[in-house]
Amino acid sequence: MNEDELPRPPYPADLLADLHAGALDEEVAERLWPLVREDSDAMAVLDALGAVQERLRGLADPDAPGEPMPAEVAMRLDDAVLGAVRAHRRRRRMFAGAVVGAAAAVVAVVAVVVVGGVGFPGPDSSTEGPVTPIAEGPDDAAALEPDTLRSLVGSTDLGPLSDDRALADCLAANGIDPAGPVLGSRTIEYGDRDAVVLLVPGGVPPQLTAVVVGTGCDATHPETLYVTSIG
Amino acid sequence: MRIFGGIAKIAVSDAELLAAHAAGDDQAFATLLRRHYDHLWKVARRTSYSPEDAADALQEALLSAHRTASSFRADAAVRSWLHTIVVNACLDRIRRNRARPTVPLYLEDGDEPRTERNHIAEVETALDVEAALEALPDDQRVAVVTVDIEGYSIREAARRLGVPEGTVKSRCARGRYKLAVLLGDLRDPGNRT
Repeated sequence: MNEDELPRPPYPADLLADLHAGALDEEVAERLWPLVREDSDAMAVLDALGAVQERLRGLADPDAPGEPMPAEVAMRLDDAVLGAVRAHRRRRRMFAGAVVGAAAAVVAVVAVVVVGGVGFPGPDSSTEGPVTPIAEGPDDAAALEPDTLRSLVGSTDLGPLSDDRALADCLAANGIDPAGPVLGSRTIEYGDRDAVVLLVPGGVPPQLTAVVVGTGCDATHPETLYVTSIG
Repeated sequence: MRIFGGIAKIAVSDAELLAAHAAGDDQAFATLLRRHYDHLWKVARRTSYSPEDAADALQEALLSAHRTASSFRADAAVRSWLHTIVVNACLDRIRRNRARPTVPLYLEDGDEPRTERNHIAEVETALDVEAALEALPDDQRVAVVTVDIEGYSIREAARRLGVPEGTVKSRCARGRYKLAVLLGDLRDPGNRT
């Protein structure tokens, strides 16, 4: 825009609003500002825009009055939150039970080895036993071990979350940015539920986060079954 | 388990309710959230395109708050923490809806509702700011709310909303200008052009 193309007073209000908001091309704005400052009508518009911003900032006051939450929304939120709290507690109890069970099993094995003495023919670690499939659930410790989870990087098995939108909704519901990458995935059984392990970047690289969600996970039902950080 | 049942919950602080939640009181977290419902609703409404979106975003936000409650720092104000989660959930929801190849729920920049000019003409100039905000097209209102009320930088607002920074700036420009007219600080849009 050369000198002749620059607008002259009276300046259009929408141009002034763009100038005020920094929405104009930088070079144009630099040339326009001195002209506008010379025009009292234009400056009155800019002052009014500044005053609007000031009034808007007043709404940031948390005690500024507003319309109360409709009862039906409050009831819906109450149900959702209470449901999530109770589901979380159930999962924790289940998990604690599994841990206690696993610990008891370890104690039993140790006891047998000790009682059996040095010569007791214990399990041969070189023997190729049946590989426990990941699909056995959370009480299969190997399924959620860091190495097992890391090995999921690059594999895609999303089951019902194969649809992009379903996956994005599920990620968002779990507080994970849907725009970010899913590094690996696998369908598993978690306890008695069909579930999907999603591997995503963790908070600090090279950390990873593995989230196990139920297959019904959607925008409003995160169905978070298990979350762990690796690395 | 229920520690803070009945009227006793009125006397306890937010931090105490969080502690009760951590200690296994099923009701404590819901009680804590309920204290802030009206504030969070106000925030969600002005940062969403519709009441339905506001309710959905709020539910996502509160469930997310529940998931991260254990890591919440007790020295930070609970309301500020919830407030931020709700604003981000609303903005993220707008971005996700925008990314979907469905019939647009709102009109793109430049295609404002046909009735808007009439609407502006009909609205009394002495509206309070909240009411004036409601009269703005959704995209302009959310831009103004995010930048001028919530204090997000242009860059952060653009990132959250999934639009270019220039779009946020021009939405703010139009929104502020219309607000100035609605609030009686400026004359009708046609007068200077």
